[in-house]
Amino acid sequence: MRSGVLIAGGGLAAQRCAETLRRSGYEGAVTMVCGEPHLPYDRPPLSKEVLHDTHAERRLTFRPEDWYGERQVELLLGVEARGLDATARKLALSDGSSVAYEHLLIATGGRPRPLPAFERFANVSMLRTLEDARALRAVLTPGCRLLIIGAGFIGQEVAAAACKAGASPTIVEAAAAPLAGLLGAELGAWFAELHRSSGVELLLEEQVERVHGSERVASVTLRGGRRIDCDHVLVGVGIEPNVAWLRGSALQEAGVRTDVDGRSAVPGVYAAGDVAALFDPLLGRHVLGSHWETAGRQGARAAKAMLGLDPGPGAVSSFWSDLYGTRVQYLGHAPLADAVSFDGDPGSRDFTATFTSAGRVVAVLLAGRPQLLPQARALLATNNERTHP
Amino acid sequence: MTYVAEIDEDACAAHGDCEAIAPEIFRLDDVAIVVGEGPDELMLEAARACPSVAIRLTDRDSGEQIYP
Repeated sequence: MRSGVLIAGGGLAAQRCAETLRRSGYEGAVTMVCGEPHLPYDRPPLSKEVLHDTHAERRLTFRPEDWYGERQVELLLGVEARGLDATARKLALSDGSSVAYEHLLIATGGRPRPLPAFERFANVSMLRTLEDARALRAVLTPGCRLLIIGAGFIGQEVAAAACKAGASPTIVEAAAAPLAGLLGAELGAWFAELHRSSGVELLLEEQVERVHGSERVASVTLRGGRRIDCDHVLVGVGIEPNVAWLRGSALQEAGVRTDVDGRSAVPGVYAAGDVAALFDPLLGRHVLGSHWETAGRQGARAAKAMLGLDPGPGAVSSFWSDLYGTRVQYLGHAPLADAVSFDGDPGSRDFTATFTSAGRVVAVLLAGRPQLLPQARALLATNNERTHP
Repeated sequence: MTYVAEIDEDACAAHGDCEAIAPEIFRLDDVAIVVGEGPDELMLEAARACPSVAIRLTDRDSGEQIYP
């Protein structure tokens, strides 16, 4: 078999790597080992419109099947990476075969972190794949009492989608407010209000003490003593990198550590997306996992690094979400900040929050002001240039 | 049809919302590209939907920037 670029994964980082290789004129073999049986597809809609619109999943695939044929990108669907022999430069696959590579991109993503207390029940979902989203959509019928554990991105977006489907969500979150660890108490409170004013019950600083039911979760008792009846449970308490298959190789098991361009310590091996812990020069440490935009750029940058091309500046960490009709956009690193200031009323759905550290802008959050994103981006870029001349 | 669309290639993250909304006007390559023309309202809808705000609209006649 020809050895070229092997991409372990079929998500966004994997897709952008393949696209960038071909666009940059690379003519060697490109093979994507997609663990799932589908053409590479986009995940963000799974926690949004796919949950309340059966037609939305038709728009999920990044490219039509022809695209891969025309560009000679070989797709191995439903096949997983099982083991890495970095010395022989070979990847063992779940179909029993073994594939040689010149460059390998590890982009195997992450999996939802399970909660042991909920593991044995039939009416408990986690959300990562199209199948997960279909199963959840099937139960999100009008009147369904959905208990959501965790007010992270998944929990918040599912709550909003569940409302659209007519279901009644209740969120239980251990922290004092959604995203408080990232954005601070004031903005956390804003997110809390966003949900509550849309009819979602949000229980903060609470944890599940006991789960009641035999095959299905019928109710839970919270640490504070309250009992909540439910028809279905969604566990959204973060993800862990898919690295189990790398056991025995020289790579880190808590995420594949790489430099800013995605190079690991093993020659010829790169990583991008949720499985990767890229070095962030601004923070001075490796950061595990990434949001959509960053994952895509990491895949593209790894492709350029493989080809010896200049990958350009790294992407600023960013995310966006549409919650109950309000677009929320964030870029930068808010935890670095020592102060936050507001333009507009932070009690409204139309404001800018600017995070500063010793007077320098380190992050910006826009609520209902998408047109200001280019300005915010320029502000952060200028700031980064000053920090890293 | 007086609006002209331009893509900020550094900002575009290839989300693909513009193509989904107005496939006659935008197509996703490595980044989004402008491939045609269409009604002003459709262009504005696509520009507003772009999570990266990478679509700039100007008025062909006046040169005025319409969005962002």
